[in-house]
Amino acid sequence: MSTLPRISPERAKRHYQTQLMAGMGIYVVAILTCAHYLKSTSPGPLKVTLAVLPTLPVIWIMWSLVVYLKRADELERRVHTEALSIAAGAVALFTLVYGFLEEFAAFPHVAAWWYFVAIDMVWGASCCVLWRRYK
Amino acid sequence: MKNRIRVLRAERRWTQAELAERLNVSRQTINALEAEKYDPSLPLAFSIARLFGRPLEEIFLYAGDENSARET
Repeated sequence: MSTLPRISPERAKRHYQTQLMAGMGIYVVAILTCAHYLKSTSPGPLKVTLAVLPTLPVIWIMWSLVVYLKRADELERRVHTEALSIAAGAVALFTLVYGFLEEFAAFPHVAAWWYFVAIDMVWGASCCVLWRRYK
Repeated sequence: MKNRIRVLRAERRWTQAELAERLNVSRQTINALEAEKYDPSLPLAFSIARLFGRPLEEIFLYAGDENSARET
């Protein structure tokens, strides 16, 4: 990571946005394709592979985010780090509370992948609020 | 922390984007610095001082300095 070529923060942002859009596109195609074949696949290694395959573009997006945060300027990095901390803290707390409710108060079960979506949503909302502080 | 970045930039007739490019930061960072809503890291503060050819204390004024100056 320390040998990343030095580019301007603006260019790093554009680079990340391109990778994000490409990654999301691949993710949508992968999830639709895998969901189609999962229906007709019997339980076994192939089914497991098809179930986790759409996470590959997500891993690529997350790697792009790490690279972007390394290249971003200090204010951008600060806002994203703060927003990610808020998202991680809020969702961790929610997970704990809802886990107890699910276990002891018969609340409906929520699939684990929703927590990933929740982190993304709180992260985005926190970024919007935090940026306003610096405008 | 108060600073004179806006004045020094205006003296050189640079836009915020030009200053951002010279310092390798985003334009939003320059805007936040000039609005005194963000205090730069020490390396960025030194880069700003070097770019304008002034000592740090001529560009950045810590609010505590003003208060202590008023008291004396």
